[in-house]
Amino acid sequence: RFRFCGDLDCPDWVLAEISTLAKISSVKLKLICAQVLRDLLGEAIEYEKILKLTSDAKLESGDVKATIAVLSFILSSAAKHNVDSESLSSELQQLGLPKEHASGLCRSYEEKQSSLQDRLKACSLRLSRLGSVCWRVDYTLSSSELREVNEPLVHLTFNVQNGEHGRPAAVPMTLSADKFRVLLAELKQAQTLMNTLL
Amino acid sequence: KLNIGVDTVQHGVEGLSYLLTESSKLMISEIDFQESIHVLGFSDELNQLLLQLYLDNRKEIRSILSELAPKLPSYHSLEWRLDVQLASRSLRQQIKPAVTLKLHLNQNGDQTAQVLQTDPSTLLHLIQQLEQALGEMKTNHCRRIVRNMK
Repeated sequence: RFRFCGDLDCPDWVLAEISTLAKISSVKLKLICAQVLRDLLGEAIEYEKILKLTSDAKLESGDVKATIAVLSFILSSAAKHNVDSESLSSELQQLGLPKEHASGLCRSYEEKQSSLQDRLKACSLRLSRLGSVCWRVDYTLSSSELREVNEPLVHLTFNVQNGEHGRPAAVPMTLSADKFRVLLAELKQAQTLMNTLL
Repeated sequence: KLNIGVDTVQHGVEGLSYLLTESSKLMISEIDFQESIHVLGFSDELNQLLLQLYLDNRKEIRSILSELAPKLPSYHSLEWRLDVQLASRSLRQQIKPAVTLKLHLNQNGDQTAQVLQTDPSTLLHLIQQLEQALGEMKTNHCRRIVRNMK
């Protein structure tokens, strides 16, 4: 049972790749970790740099990809389950990773742990998000039904983005003054409730 | 370069691909293939060439053909989120846990997603049913069939 695996058994493939990690020097491993962390944080990964760093260990291309995969798993899983770097280091050593490799890896992890967790929180499932709200207040003077209307009218447009890669959709609506007051009152109540939780 | 019209080349390519796909589809033997193309009246050298082409590429053609069969949407990944509803416009002071799932599916290269929501007890029931389904593979009935298929 390992905390960084969510109190479950360590997957077989991770166990197998730990021996591949041990083939790389601990200094180079720390640099490869830095690259993998860049990828996890959403920046571009520099694959050629990783290839150069692994060339000394004479890894095949399949092994290089496996190295990146296992490091991605260890770092993101540890961040997911909020494991501190000492516990991660001791668990990795239990799995057979040499001490210098484990401490190098965990030092890189510790530096970026909170940014990683923030990024994972941002990537969590969200159904739709509000992008922006536009409004306009008009005053209706007259209409085909009634000669003198003299009523204010609110135009609201909510720009909603559906899911991670959805295109933003605009939801327009018009409200009379009374309806708008009701909407505003209800939303203010919801906001008060949200503030009590923060 | 071949000094023939475009149409002739196109027909030639179409004819050749039809010959190869039909032969690979039916997985016909060497002798049947040779007899079939003998009817076309080509030279022996050409017949041998065609036969070699068929034998070399048959396995790859078959694997491509197998992927063309209509497929049901298949599982790609699952995202989930656990929320607790604390209040709504009509009722305050609630505690209502809900699990939101986004099931990512692959169908013929297109990715679709289904969003589902369930309460924890339905989720437990779902897990139980799926584990039962997995357990079916271990019954004697399924084991016998799997053994006979190998």
